[in-house]
Amino acid sequence: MGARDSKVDECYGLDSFNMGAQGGADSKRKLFEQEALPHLDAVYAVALRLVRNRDDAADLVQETILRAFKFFHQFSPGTNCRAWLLTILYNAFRNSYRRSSREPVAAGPEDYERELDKAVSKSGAERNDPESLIFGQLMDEEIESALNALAEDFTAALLLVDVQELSYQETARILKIPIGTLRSRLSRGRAAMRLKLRELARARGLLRS
Amino acid sequence: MECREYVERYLAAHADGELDPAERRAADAHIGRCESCRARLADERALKALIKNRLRKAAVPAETRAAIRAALDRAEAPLSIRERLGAGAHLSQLSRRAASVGLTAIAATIVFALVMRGWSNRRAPASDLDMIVAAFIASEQHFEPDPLCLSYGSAAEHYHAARMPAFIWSFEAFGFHLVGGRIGKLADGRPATFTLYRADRGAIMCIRFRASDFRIPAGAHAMTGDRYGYSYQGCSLVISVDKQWVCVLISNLTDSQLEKHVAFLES
Repeated sequence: MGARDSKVDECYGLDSFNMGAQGGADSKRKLFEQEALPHLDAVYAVALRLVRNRDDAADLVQETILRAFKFFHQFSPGTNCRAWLLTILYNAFRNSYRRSSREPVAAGPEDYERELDKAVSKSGAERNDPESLIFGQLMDEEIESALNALAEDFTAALLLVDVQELSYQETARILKIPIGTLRSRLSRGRAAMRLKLRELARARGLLRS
Repeated sequence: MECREYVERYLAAHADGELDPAERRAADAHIGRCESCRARLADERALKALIKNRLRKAAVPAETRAAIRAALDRAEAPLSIRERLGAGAHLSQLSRRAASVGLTAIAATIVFALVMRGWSNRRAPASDLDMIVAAFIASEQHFEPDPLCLSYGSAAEHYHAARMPAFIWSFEAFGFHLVGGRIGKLADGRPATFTLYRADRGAIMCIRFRASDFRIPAGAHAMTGDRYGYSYQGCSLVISVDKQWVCVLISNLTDSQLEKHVAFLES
């Protein structure tokens, strides 16, 4: 019914049929700006990591905002607007962009198992300085590069949960995966990130091998 | 629980606060006993904080912000006929469509004239009435009801299934037969029901949509209870708001006939 309806609406002039009398339309725009535009930077940041260049990110964000405006009546005020916008963003991304064939894998499943064994075999006494002290000494760009080196699935999970601070439920919905899969990606993603960060720390002499 | 199991299955969600109550109890119990895993939990939380705080925070460039504002402005304003006719493709699309739906040249001219007046007066108080009237005249010429909505019962059922008001007016007492109904959209994307009735002497259309953002247009010449009557450009309208829904009745019956019909039906 959808496609035919919009043609029919146009024919009848109904697509210009705006019943927001005396400022109704204005208040929709105002409400939208109040709710959605504060998240513009966050949406752009995520878009930039998805498409990895500024022009495409700008286009993707614009498409997302326009679609959000068009369907603003479907948004329930009081719920997480950022999660809603990011859902639209990811859908737009999946529709418009094919996934790049370049998928750097910093840690395959075997690496993860090995790390798990190593991590668990150390007892508390043998542990060196807390990770946080060591990793904290890395530069922003190095931390950035560690995240970018991860497989896309891991990066997406960490981006939404750790950077955007969305819940598991919100994140799983946006990525269209079951929560169990998300938990696994977070677990492995963080382990992979640790591997990468340790490499960088070792290269800088912050960590004994 | 063994450390390996804790690290593999619980650690991430524990640090994120996303364990369910049973899992949470088991995880808390484990780290209560195990210093290494307690340290691992601290590391996991620290890594989260590192990712959150140390990653480059991109800000939307100013020109992108401006482009988005401009795009929203365009999305809000309805396309003028001039804009549509500007693109050759649009023109041929319009004329093809006009031919296929059997609009006569005269009717099409009327529609265009009304619609242009309506759009150019967009900010005038009566502009919404302009557009309702234009839409009514256009659809009166050629209304394509949903095949599921050709009878009172089936229309009511269909509207109800779409969570729209399912009450269907009956103007049979005045000689108007139900042509049918359909669910369509207003310009802002809001769903609306459109129901058309016809008699020899004219047509009545009922349009219903959600009342959020709606204010009764100025210029009503009569008010009975919660019904506002308008006489505008050769059409009469009765507009009322019932709980969350606006109901617009519009017809080309002469002055006050529509109101009389409605008053009779509501008495």
